[in-house]
Formats: sequence, structure tokens, C-alpha cells
Amino acid sequence: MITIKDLNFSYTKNKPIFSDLNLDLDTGHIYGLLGKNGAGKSTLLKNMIGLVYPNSGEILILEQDVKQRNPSLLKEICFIPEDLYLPNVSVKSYLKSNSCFYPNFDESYFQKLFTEFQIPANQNLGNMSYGQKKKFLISFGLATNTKVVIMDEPTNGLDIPSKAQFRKVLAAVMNEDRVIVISTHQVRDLDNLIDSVIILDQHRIVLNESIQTIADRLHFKKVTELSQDILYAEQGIGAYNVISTNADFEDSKIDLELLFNAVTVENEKITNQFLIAEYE
Amino acid sequence: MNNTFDFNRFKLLVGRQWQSYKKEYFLIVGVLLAIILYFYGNEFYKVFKVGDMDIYNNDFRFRIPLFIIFGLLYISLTASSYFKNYGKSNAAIAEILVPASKFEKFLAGIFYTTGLGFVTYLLLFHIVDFGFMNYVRSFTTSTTTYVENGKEIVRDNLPYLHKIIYIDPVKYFVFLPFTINALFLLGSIYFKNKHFIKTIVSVAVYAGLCFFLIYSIYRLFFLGHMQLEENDYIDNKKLMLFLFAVLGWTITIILWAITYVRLKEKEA
Amino acid sequence: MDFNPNKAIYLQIVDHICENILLGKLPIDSKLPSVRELAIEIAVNPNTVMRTYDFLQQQGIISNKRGVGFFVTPDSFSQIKKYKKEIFVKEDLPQVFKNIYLLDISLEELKERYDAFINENYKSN
Repeated sequence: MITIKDLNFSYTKNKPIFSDLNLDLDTGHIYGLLGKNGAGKSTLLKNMIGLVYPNSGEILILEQDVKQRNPSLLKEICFIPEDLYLPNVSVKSYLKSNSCFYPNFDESYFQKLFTEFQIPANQNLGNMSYGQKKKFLISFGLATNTKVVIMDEPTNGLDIPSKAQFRKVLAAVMNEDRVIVISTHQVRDLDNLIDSVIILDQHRIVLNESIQTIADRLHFKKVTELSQDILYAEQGIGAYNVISTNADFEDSKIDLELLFNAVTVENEKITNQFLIAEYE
Repeated sequence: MNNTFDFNRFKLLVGRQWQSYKKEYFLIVGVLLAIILYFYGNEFYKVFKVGDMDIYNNDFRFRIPLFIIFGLLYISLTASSYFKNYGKSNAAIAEILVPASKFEKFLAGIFYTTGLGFVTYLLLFHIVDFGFMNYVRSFTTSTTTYVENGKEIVRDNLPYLHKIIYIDPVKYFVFLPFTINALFLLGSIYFKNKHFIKTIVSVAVYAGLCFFLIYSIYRLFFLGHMQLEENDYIDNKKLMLFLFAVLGWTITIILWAITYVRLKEKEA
Repeated sequence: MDFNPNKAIYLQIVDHICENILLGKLPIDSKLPSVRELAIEIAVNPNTVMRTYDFLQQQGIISNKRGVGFFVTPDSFSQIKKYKKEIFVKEDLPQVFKNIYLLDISLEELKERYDAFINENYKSN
């Protein structure tokens, strides 16, 4: 669905953000894009939908070059940026003048989300708080029923009940025809929702695997003594939180933070697990 | 689906853009109206106070410079405010992602800043002028009669503005507001902030350079070489004006084209 | 439902459903919520719920009627017990055995304690 081929990108010369980055994303998944501060998560998302142009390489969505910014593609893209902008107009007039561009816009679904999120109906969008704006944009964006949903730190600025609602909403909008990409550094907010993990580090994608594959190849556990099969360990309270090889095919719960640290520190040790498994 | 132009989509886009543009638009129109009314009001006050046109003897010449100067100011302001969202990263994202083609977005800009903008300006100005002149003409008339080629000609000294500005040579300068529009549209896309001032400064610099260049060429090649016969003068002047207008339109279209390309490649 | 930080999510959902079946909240032959419904209810990726249902099906605890949905099988109780026993034997029992061995508890003592526990907790009902 989304294909990135040999992407090279930099804002200023000699400071590459991405070099020869490749990525393939399929429908029916919620991808979690993880990366350190400044790794370029937002920039990757912007590249993905043609908001910025790569120095070289190709990015296709639905077989269309995103650089063209064709309306036929734009009507299938919903993007929730971290830095939001909404004009200072009423909810009603925003809906009236924007929803008409999206042939599958679902007004009743919008109303449902709008009520669930408890967004004030009689307030101008420009006067809303950051969190309210975000909830409004999420409601509108998801009601457009686009095939591509891209969210940059969507849970930032949401209060506690809204985060819980957001998780339910996200579980509900996932379907076989859609691809959802979410960048986040608050992995706990989306822990059980993402089914594939993309880790961006050192200008490239260092990991892009489904949760299931990760759980098959790696074993997440607590141990008191370190052994040979351990790939990565962190000192916890009274025990080590470790990632080991998973020879016995045990199903453990993936600790995304631990995984992220392991991949960024011990990149090859971890990624080798996926290579070996593929050869088998 | 046509990815370049679709009339229905264009209509939707024009509707959408109105929502974000109308505030600027009404503000500019309001200020403009206030200025026009101020100048006319001032004259109105004089006429009202003095009452007698013979004493006052005024053919309201202030109207033409007012019309031109504020027209140009108005055009530059509307043009430079339309695309201002593209200067802010977060607002630009919203604009870029609207599912309409780049061409439609550009065209909507032209529509609002020339089509609607120009019509508004002309309408406002002429309505105010019409009202004012109607008032003046209701209690006085002033005409000058003279004979030319054996025919008696009556000249109205208190004409409506639209009767005196749409005279023949003006058509050669019609491109000018469009050029200004194109310049400021481009400026607003090109510069990230303070585009109005930056555009004025760059235009001043370019205009200065061009003038200098043309003047130098003229001095080098033509000064002392050109001899115009008296009969040719009118024809030549017309030709020059025509060429001038062609050049003006060409520049305008080039500027619009650059604006379009800039808009197309705007990153957020 | 509350999630346990150490167990794979899909297995936690398996436990959750098994518990509901044993408690009678999901009677035999009743229809389970759809993948989507359950995913929304517990705010989990639908693919994860799908995996849970696949697993429960493999264990013979639920069955899939094409186009209709998933249903609790008539022998779900015995299948759940079988599955739970397997886990108990594999995961919990070794720990218990280890402690019995380390703490030097005789099998006689263990039996006494076991009988007393059963009497106290279940026989009185």
C-alpha cells in the first residue's frame, strides 16, 4: 500500500535524515513508528504523504507518486500532525466546507466520535485547547474514511479518559482496507493496539516486524541471572528485564520500550534473530 | 478522476477557501471603504459648507490618484494575504492536503484576488463616486463649451469617475493591476514571513535595476540616433504602448506561472 | 479487562474468555462477540483478537460457523480444563515441585494439606 524506495532526505546539505531508506506497509495493520527524538519520525511521515520532497528515491501510495499530490490520492489520506492548525470557524462550517472533498465521509460517525470525545459543539475551532483541537481533528479525520491514516504523536495532549477512548476508536477503525501509521514515543499509550513495529534509527529503518513475528523470535522475560541466550538486558528491581532468543517458542508479552532500547543499542544482535529465522 | 481540473471540485475548493479568506477580505474591504469614504467625505464637507460650486471651482481631481493609488495598494494587500497560510508550516499542511489539484488551488487564489477582488474594488469605488457625484450634480452643473473643427463640444466638468478613467490609452495599462497581483501572490508564496514588505523591497530593487538597464541601453543605442517625424509620432506612440502592454502581460503570465510552480512545490 | 505485563496479550484474552465460559457468562452454544466488537471493547488490535480466536479454535474451545461467527463448543469445559492443565503442568507445577523439594516437604504432609484445603474451600458448599 505504501512503498518507500531508496529514500534520501535532508533538510540541509551534509546532514542526512534518511539515507537509502526502504519501507513497505500493508493494509490491515496498525504500524507503530518508534524513534529517538530527532530521528526523523515526523519527517518520515511528511515524506510518506508528499508534504516534503525527497532528495532522491520514490514514495508510492496506492501506486501513485505522492509527490504529485493528486486529488485522487489526497482524498484517501488522513493526516493528524503534531503541530495542529485549525481555522477559527465553527465546527459546523468546518464540516460543511471540508467534508465534501471526501466521498466516504460518514457524518453520523463523526457525530458519534464528537460526542464520545466530549468536544464542545458551540465553540470556534480556533478557541479550542490543544487537546480539543486534536480530538476534533481525529474525529474528522477518521470520519473521512480514508484508506491511509497517518498520525504523528496522536496521544500527545489528550487527557486520561480521552486516551482510553482513543484506543477504542483506533481498534474500531482498523480494517482490512486500511493502513494506519502512528508515530509515538509514548509506547504505553498504544501498547496493545499496534500490530507492527517500525523502528527508525541512524537514518534507516532498523526494524519492521509484526508483533507476532517479534514474539515468535524473541523472548521477553525477567531473570535474576544472565545466561548465554540473552541478547539484551536491563537492570530492573531485583531482576533483569531481558530479551533472549526464543528457541522454545514461548509466547511472551513484548515490552516495546525494552525492544526499542535493545534495537538501538544492540542492533545487529536483535535483527539477526529475524534474518536467521527467515532462512530456516 | 481528473487530477488537474474538475469543475465541481473547483467549486468546492472556492467554497472552502472562502471560509479562511473571508475575514481578511472583509477587513481589507472595510479599510478600503473607510479610506474612500474619508476622501469623499472630506470633499463632501467642503462642498456642503461652501455650497456654491463657482466659488469652490473644483472638478474633483483627487479621485483619479485616489483610485489608482488605493487600487494598487488594495491589490497588493489582497494578493499577499491570500496564500499566507502557506508560510506557516502547520497551516500549509492543511492546505496542501486538501484533496484538490494544485492547479485548482492556484486558480482559486487568482479567482479571489483578481476576479472577486477587482470587482469588489471597482464596485465599491464607483458606487461611492456615483452617490457623491449624484449629490453634487443635484444642485449644480458645470460645463465648458468649446468649438473644435467647427463642431461645438460640451464638456462636463463634473463627470462620474467611470466616464473619465476608461478612456482609450488606459486599456494599454490594464495589465498593471494583474502584474501587481502576480508579484504579490508570488511574494507571499516565496517568502516565509513578512512577505508584504519583502515583496515591496524586492520589487523596488528589481524595478530600479530594470529601469537602469533600459535607460543605459536607451542612452547607448538610441540617444541622438532616433528621429521621429511628426506624422509618425501618434502611430509610434500607439505601437510603443502596445508593445509595452504585451510586455506587461507577458511578465504577468510568467509571474503567475512561477507562482504556480512555487505553490506546487511548496513543502511543509 | 486488566492486562498482565508479562503475558502475551492474545493469551491473556484467551484466559479472559475461558474464565467467562467457566463462569457461565458465555454459555455453551452461545455466540462470542465479533472480533471487531471485542477489539473495541478491550481496546486491542483486531489482529490480536483474531489470533486469540484462532487459538481457542485450535484448542476446541470455540468453533467457527462460516459467515455467522464464533460459538462456544459443547465440550468447551473439558477442553478448557485440558488446556489449563497443560499450562499448569508445564508452567506452575515445576515451581511448586521446586519449592517442595527445597523446603523438604513430604508428600504425606502435602496430601494432608491438600485434603484440608479442599475440605475448607469446596466440600462445605
